[in-house]
Amino acid sequence: MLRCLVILILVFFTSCSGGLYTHYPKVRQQAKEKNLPEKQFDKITLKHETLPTKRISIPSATVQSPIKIEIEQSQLPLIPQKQINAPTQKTAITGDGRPRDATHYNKNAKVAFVAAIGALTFFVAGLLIHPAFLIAMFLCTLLAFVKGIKAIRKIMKTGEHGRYKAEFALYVAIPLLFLSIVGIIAYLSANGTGLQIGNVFIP
Amino acid sequence: MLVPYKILVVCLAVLLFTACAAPRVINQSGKVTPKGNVVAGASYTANVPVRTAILMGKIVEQNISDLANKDSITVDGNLETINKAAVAYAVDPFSSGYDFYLRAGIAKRFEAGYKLAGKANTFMLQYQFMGTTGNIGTVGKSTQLYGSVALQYSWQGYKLPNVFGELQSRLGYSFKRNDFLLPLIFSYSFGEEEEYGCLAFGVAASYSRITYTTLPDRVFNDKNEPVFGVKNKQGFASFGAFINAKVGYKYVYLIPACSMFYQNYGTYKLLNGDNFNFKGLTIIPSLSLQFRLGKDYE
Repeated sequence: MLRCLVILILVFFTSCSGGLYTHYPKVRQQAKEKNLPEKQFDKITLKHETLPTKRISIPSATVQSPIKIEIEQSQLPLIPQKQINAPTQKTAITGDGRPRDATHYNKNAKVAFVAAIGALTFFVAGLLIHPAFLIAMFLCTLLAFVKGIKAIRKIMKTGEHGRYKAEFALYVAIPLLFLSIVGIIAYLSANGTGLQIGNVFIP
Repeated sequence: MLVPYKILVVCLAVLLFTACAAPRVINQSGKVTPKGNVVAGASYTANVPVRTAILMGKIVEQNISDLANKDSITVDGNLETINKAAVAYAVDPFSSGYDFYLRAGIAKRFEAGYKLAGKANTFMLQYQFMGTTGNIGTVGKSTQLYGSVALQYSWQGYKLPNVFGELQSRLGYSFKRNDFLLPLIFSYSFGEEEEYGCLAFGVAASYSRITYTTLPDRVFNDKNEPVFGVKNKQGFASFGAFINAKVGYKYVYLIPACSMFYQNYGTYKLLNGDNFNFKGLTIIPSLSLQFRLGKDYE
C-alpha cells in the first residue's frame, strides 16, 4: 500500500515537473509583457547557449602508501559521533574536590529515593495500622540501601546528578533498616514465636 | 489488631531489660575515630552461651515456681540442677538487649569511649598502629588496611535474672564482676578512609573476675541442717574471634557483628557444698546503628 502511494506521488511529481516550466506564472507574465506567444517564449528560454570549449589541465594524483599508525587507526572500532561531539562528562571541580556533572541523572539514586520514601510510609503504617508493615519497610530499606550505595559510588566517580537524593535515601534507609530488623525480632518475641538459632531459642 | 502501636512499644521496652552479660561485642574497626570526631551508637545484642542454654532447658522442666513456694527447700538433685543453672546463667547469661556507646578521637591515633550495656559500665581505649588517620572526605587510598588494639574495662553488680523469679529471694544470690577485654582489630576499608564502611575482623582475649555471695532462706541439706551463705571468688579467661561489617555512608552506618568466645568458667561452689565446673562456647551476634558527628575533612 505504502509502495503504491509512493509510486503515485512520484508519478504525480514527474508529470507536474514536465509542464511546470511552461505553466510557471512568472514566465507567462513575461511573455505577455513582451507580446510574445507563450510557446515561442518557451522555446527561446529553452535554447542552450554553446560555449567555447577550453582545455583544463588536471593535476596528476600521487598515490602514497599509508603509514603504520594510519592503518592501526583505521582498524579501530567506530565511535558514535554523538559521544565525540557531545561529551557527557563535565569535570568541574567544586567544593570538596569531587567532580560534578550537569548532564546525566543517576537512575539508582531515583530508585533509592523512592524506596526510602516508601520505607518511611511503611514505618508510619507499621506504627499506626499493623506491625506486619515492618516487613515491607524492611524490604524497602534494603532496596534503598543497596541502590543508594550503588548510586553514590557511581556518582562520586562520574559526577552524575542525584547525589543529594542518594544521600537522603541512605541517611533515611540505614536507621530504618536497623529499626525494622529490631522491630521484627521484637514482634516475633511478643507473639511467642521468638527467634530460633539452631537448637537455641532467643526469647 | 486494635492497638499494634502499644504492642510494639511494649515489645521494644521489654527488650530493654537486659541481663547481666559482659559487654563483649566488638563493633569497632581498625581505624580509630579521627581527632575532633565523635561517634555515637546503639546496638541490639544477643548473648547465646550454648552450655547455659542446655541447662536452662533442664530448669524449665523442673518447675521453679513450685520449688520457690515451698515452706522449706531441701537440697536434692532437683535443687542442684537449678543451682547449677542459676550460677551458669549468672556467669554467662542467655539474653538479649541494647547497649549505647559514645567514642571520641582524643588524639592522633587514640580513641576513648564509654558504653552502657544493661547494668554494665564500660570504658575503652583504642590505639591505632596501622593505616592512615585522616577524616572521611580526605583523599587517600581506597583499599587501606587498618590495625588497632583496644583495652576495655567493665564492671557491674547484679542478682539472679528474672527467669528465676521468686527463687532469688530463697537462694539470695548476689554477683559482682569485673571484665577486661583486649581485642586486636584489623579492618579493610570500603572507600577512602572508611567512607562507605569497612570489614573488620580480629581476635580477642578477656579476663573476668566474679565475686558471688549466697544468702539462703529456709534451705536445708539432706541432714535437715540449715544451709548458710557463702562468699566466693572466681576468675576465668576467654579467647575468641570476631568479625563485623560496617556499611553506610559518611554519617550513618549499620554494623552487623558476630563474636565467638570459648572459656572455661572455672569452679563454683553450690549450696550443698559441692563444686561445679563448666566450660563452653558463647556466640554474641549484634546489630549496631552508628552515627558519626564531626567535620568532613581536614
